[in-house]
Amino acid sequence: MKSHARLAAAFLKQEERAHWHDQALWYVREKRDRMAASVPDWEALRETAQAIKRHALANLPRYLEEFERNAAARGAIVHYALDAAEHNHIVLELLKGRNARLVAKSKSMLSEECGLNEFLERNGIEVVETDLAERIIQLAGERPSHIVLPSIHIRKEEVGDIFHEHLGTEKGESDPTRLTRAARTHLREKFLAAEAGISGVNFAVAETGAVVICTNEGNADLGNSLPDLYIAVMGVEKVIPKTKDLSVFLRLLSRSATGQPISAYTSHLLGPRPGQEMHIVIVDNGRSEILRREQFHKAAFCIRCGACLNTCPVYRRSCGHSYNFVIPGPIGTILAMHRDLKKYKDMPYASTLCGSCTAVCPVMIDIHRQIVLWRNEVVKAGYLGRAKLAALKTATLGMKRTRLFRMGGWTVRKLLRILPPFVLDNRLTIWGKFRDLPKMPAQSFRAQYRAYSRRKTDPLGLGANREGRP
Amino acid sequence: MSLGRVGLFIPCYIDQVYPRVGMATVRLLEKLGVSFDFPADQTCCGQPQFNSGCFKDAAKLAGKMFRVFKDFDWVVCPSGSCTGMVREYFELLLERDKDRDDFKHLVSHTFELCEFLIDILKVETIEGSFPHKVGLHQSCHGLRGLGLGVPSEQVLPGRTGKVLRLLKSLRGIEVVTTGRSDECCGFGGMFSVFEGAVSSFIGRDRIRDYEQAGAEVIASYDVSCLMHLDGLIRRDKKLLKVMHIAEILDRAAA
Amino acid sequence: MTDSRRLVLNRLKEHAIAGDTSYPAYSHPHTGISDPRRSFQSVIESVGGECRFVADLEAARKAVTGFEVFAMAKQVCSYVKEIADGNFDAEAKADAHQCADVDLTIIRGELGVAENGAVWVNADPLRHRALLFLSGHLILVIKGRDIVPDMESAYARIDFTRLRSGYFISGPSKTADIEQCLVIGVHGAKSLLVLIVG
Repeated sequence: MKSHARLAAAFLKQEERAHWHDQALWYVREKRDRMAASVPDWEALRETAQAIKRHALANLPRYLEEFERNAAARGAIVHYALDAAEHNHIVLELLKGRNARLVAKSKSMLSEECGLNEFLERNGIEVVETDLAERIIQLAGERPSHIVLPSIHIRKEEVGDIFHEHLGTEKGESDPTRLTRAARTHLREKFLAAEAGISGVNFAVAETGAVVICTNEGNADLGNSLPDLYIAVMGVEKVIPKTKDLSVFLRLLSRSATGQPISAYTSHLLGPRPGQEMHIVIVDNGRSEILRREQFHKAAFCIRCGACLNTCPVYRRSCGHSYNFVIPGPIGTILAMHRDLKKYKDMPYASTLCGSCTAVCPVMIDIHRQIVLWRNEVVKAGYLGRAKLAALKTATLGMKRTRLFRMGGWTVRKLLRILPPFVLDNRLTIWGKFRDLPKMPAQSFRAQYRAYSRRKTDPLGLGANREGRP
Repeated sequence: MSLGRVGLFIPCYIDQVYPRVGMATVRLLEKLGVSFDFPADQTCCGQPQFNSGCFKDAAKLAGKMFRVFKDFDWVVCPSGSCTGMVREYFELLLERDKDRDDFKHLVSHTFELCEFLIDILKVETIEGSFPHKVGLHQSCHGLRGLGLGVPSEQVLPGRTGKVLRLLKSLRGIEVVTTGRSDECCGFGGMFSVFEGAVSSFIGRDRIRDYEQAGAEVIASYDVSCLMHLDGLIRRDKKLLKVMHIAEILDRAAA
Repeated sequence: MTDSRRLVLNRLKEHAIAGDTSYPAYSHPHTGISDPRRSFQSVIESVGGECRFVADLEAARKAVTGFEVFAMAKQVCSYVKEIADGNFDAEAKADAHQCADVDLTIIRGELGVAENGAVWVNADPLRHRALLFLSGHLILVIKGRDIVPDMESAYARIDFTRLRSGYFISGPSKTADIEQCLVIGVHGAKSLLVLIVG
């Protein structure tokens, strides 16, 4: 498995594409800024959102039970899954129970996390992603590169090629409108033929048992209203206490995610439609462990808006595929670390710790702080590379004793001034590979300051002449 | 004005690589009538180690810094990131000391240079001229951690940044704005070495923005960012100059 | 399966959320909206929808008759008989799939939200909620006095006690998934007209 650094470096080799990707996501960040600025209470809303999450997650069993009671009273059947395997198994059994072979699926990061599609396909079930971006990457055989804009890394000409191959559009067609029309026709057929619909859940309201789903395309709604079997899958952390709380989260969600005041459709489902079986699968898969870690529990507040991805200078220039976890970018990093510290140890280092992610997060997760704390976990577990560790330990030794620091600094500076430029500013040294070294001064600040102070107190140099230390 | 004892905290890389920033800070403080000490026993706040995740090592250096500075009434530092290290993370590193009065005093009384001028000395303007086009690079730790500016992500109507105010007070200066007013420079400490490709790509984007905005000088309150940008400027043989805020204010206040 | 339920709920009893975890008392009315009708209109139009103010249902009928989508529609399903009779009776269809070719659906909304141009549609009166998404085009009808400033005030007015499904619909179906180019009319309605009566 290649590290983020290697994958990102490869991505950046195509400079024009990298700039295009960076600009596309910065544009979404700008739209988010304009939307946020139009809501006078924006910062207060974020505080309230965080407070609701703190309360809800500190009382999850109670709210899950309330949600389950209310959803069941409306006719939904509620299941619990400990982990990804159980989630997949439950879904498969439900589909087999109705002999459903074609599924119309709407976006669910949870299902990506559990590898649901691959599992169902292995068991002879055709899963059709109906969100346009998800369908594009499904046809292309790729992973999503963003949690809200899964195909943001794909150019329209490339979509044209994918559709030409799989949907029979004209070769060379790259007009987004015509391509989308072709997808509409193609997916309509699937919606009408589907025997089951599966979707994720944005919010589950304990007070009423309502499942709330936000889309711009309306695909989740076709998927949950046409087939006679509908399965909603959700992580335990999706439950919120009251209907009123929806107002807080919905006002923050779309503005943060795509710079829209609200998604085109915000659907509230309380039980199945007549003649339909509706199931809700509530999944833990490690979330309970996240909640037990004092320094890291806020990662469970996430409402999957993706704003942190859009604002991250590193994510924009490396693309989601440079991260090895199903969710990339800042939030992906702090979630991945809970999943597997060793496997994802490079992710927390794929950050400049600029803090922009924390500043945009609608539920005020301290993302960049968690990232640096995870670095400490990586080091404590012994996973930081030996060379890096050695370099840092040497530096620490050199800085603990002032004398060592002064002499070490003097030596390095002297060396760097003596060595010819071609040795230093060349592509082989880790700094010099990318940029020039600063010019090393002859004297450190402390030496200059000592001389400066002496001149001020003793301008004629009459006092005792102490040996000049570096 | 009696401030009590002011200690000058000079980051390790300023001491060894950019002493001119330290000297500019010294002269500026003197011109403003501040008497201070430079405790020569200081070395480093531990940020490079902390940044890499080596908290144990960082704590050793942080502890040393605490011992060196604990008896000062104020600590002034020409670096947003090092000041941020003290104010935001020392408590995490020095758990044993965090309830001590002198520790709490150090954490709450360590100031970056510009915020020391504005918040403590109540100096909002510097008398002097600097007739150049300057791009202000709002380094991340100082911006979002210390509140030296108004982060573009937040909705805080009516506020202006502290550093911007100081700069704009100089006669003849033109502070140019870029489309991305506070995007990271890409340095990120060890990131610049661990992920050199991304680091330099980001840095070059920033430089291009300042060039397009017509800046002659890129200024910042963190010379680490400037060192990174300058390395790219010189590698690409561009004409931009980099200057620390202390150098600009010191030169103007001559 | 009940074992998993018990296990999951037990696991979630312990958490490391320190400090005050009480439910927050809050109220965040949107204070930036001086003219709710104008706000509503400008947001709906900015997201690709259309919005028209009419004095009464008779005026609404006239507006719809002159609407190009209405003129071109072969199958029109109307739940607002004062505005149009329609020629497609979705209520008489046993299966939602039979509504797949409806060109235009006209239906009442209960309220409009000024901060985001959304209309709340209670789908319980419909035999087939899928109609809202199968229909080629949508016309939603709301009363002017039912435009509220923000989502908080909207939710305060919605009764969930017997509701089976309800939707905030803000604009036609859309996507920007192909190179961030906005395309209207993906899976759901290709256009949305909101008639604000009175």
